[in-house]
Amino acid sequence: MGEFLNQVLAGVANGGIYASLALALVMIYQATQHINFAQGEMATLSTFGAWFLFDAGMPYWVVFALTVFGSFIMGALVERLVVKPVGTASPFAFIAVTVGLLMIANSASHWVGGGDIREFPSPFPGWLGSRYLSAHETGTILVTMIVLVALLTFLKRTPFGLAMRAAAQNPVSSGFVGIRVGLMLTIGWGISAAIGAIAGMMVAPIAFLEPNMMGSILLYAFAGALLGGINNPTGAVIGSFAVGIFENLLGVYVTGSELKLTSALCLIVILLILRPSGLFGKAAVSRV
Amino acid sequence: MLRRTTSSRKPILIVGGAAALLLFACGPYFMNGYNIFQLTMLMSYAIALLGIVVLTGYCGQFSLGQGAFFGFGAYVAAVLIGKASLHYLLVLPVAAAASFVVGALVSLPAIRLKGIYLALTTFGLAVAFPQLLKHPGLEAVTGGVLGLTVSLPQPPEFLGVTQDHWLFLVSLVTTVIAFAVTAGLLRGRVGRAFIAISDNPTASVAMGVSLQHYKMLAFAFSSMLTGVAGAISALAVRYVAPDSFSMFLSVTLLVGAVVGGVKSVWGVIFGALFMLYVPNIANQISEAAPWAVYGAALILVVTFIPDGIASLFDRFIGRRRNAAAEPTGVYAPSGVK
Amino acid sequence: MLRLTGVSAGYGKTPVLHEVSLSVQRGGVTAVLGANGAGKTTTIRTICGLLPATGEIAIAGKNIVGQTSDRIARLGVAHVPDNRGTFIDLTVRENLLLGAHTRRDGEVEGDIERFLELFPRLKSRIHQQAGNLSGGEQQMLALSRALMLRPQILLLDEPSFGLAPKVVAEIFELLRKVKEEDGLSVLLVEQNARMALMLSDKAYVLESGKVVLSGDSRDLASDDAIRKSYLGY
Repeated sequence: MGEFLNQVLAGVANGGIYASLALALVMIYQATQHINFAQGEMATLSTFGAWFLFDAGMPYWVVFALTVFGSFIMGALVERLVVKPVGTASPFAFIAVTVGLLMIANSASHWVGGGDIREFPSPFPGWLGSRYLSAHETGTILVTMIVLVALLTFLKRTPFGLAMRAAAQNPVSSGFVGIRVGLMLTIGWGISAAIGAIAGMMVAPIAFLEPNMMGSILLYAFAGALLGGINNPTGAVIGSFAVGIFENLLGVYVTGSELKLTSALCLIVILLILRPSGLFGKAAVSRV
Repeated sequence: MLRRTTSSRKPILIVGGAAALLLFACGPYFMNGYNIFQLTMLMSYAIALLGIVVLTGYCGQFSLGQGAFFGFGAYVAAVLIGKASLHYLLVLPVAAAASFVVGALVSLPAIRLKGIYLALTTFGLAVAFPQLLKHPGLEAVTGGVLGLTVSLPQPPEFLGVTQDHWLFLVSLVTTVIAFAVTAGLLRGRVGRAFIAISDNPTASVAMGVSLQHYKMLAFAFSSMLTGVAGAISALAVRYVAPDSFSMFLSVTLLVGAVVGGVKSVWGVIFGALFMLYVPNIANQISEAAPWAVYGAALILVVTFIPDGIASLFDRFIGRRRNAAAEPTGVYAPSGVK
Repeated sequence: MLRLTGVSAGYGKTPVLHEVSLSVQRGGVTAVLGANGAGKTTTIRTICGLLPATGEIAIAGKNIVGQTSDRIARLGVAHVPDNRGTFIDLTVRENLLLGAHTRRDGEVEGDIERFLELFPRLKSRIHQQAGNLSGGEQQMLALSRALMLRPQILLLDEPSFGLAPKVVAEIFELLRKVKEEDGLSVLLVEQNARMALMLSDKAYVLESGKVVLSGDSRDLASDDAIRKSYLGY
């Protein structure tokens, strides 16, 4: 029983990491009605940026703030310079562009970081740790919760968040009420890049910083976000924890650790077929 | 998407095309082994890209997992030659059939997914495929992490050509067949059904096009093409290993298709050339560069030349297109009243 | 308040409007009538900045040709499009709040209350997804949302389209009230010529993108020949 609990909690720890990236995915979806395949790679790049700031001797929370802010700018610039010219002509074009960004970001990480695996500091004090979860794992879950609450408050309870959601869902009507749709998209990208940076800084102490750090985590984060409903930040977090637990238990008791990724894939597929809007999402009515 | 060439230019194109083909076929007589190998890989890529043109360009189904089908075909070829000692001339047809079946199986869940969800699932497939190959349970067949080596087929004595040249000829015949079958399929009723599905799925159902049936066909046919391409590459490279068929291969194929023109059967030639030569050039800049170049190429082409290089050539030779010029973008009006 | 002078516009290369000139007085209601395809909706879309146009479109004297639709909205132009333009995945309340997006005063909640009193059916569904509302309810919502902007001028595109006569009457009653109480200027595009002429001071009739008839609404309504040939009743 103790062993089982250990595995469940290990899954929860993983889930915390997936949840932090899943929030970035949900944010970009809320802002643009699209999925950004490059989210993970952009987060890795941000984390490399943070590492260099650490190397220069700056204290943790200063680096954290600078990285989050810098990533916001990076996300906004990417939207203005790369995404906007493509327009919203076709979902194919958008997917292709984010895949292209994925490759460029990954290349950039390789170029900046070389092939080395780097250690990344964790800001969480030792007393946060317990028998089941390390200090950092606990800290990650706490940070994820804080980001979740902040995101929910922003999206649901502020006029700006409302405008952002409206701009994504109905750009034409948003124009009629005076919303600057283009600006909303840019800021949306900025915020989700910032959340991604936070996710990266939570992942790196555990996974070690290297260019392919976020590769499979992206897949798990997608699974979690889809499970909970891509439109639903709370659902995405719950979904991510579920994915973490499920994937870990499956790996330990059923299939062995090599097939973890495949089981995540199977989960995604089954989910999408049975309930495309996720466990907690709202079904979108398809109008002819 | 239906194109008509102005009738005065058609004979020129046919003669020109035949001449180019003949020239290409005689190429190996003047080249060394390595260059012949490159031409064979060119054909392999072209066939794989044909698969994407059918699935994504014509039928509108977005797949980021073509690398997995390519790898499947490659492994089928390697296993059949290495473990089952199958006669090499049978390897390609068997790989084609196996890939067709696998494509049909994969399509069963895939046809229920749309757009972004399909992209996501196929993305997952591309990422998971190498893992599957490395799984200890399958090691006996797949050779695990180390992969399998493939012995090159011996040419028949009477032809008096080298091994590389023989493989080139086999691939050439396969390529011509692939193009002919694909073009035939797309020009006929099936092709029109694909386009209808891609343009307006709801309307096409209302018109009696069996959505599921045609989507499955698109998946099966395209993975058949991609699998054959993979089989050719296995014979040419003489080695298969899990990490050769990762997500990056899927993305590379996607880029090749987009650069050539994802809706163009002939555009795959440009795409294949891109796939063959750009990594070499990019590598000289820096080791990590090829991926950045691919990424940049993808973004630039999609932004500025959405229908690929083939569309530039189309304009050059005066082909007319039936594309509807709908204004798009954030402030697009929703219709005329 | 609103003046179009020699405005031509179209989709792509095909011009749909040809040198259209019309105006709406401050506090007045102008009707734009015509058959399907005459260019009525195109006129409104052009005013809102959705289509490129030549000529001059002036709001309170300021030329807005070439501006984006959000800038035009911020100048006090509210638009109720022919498809309602509802934010279907957002709640009724959120739809109303969005109407007030450009406002910085503190009376937004008060206005929401006012519209909920006016339209009890909206009040009962205040937290439901707006996409679940019926056609008539969405029209009420669209109108309320537009008025939440506290606009200087209201552009209405076929408000009666597809609605039961009783609902149409309710809506026109509200428009009459708003016109009298708030001194709002209204441009009304309608196929239902009879109701439009009853509500408006001035009317223009469009045919194939050109103004073929204009004048005082009462005169147009009482002229039998015009009614029969242009207005269809």
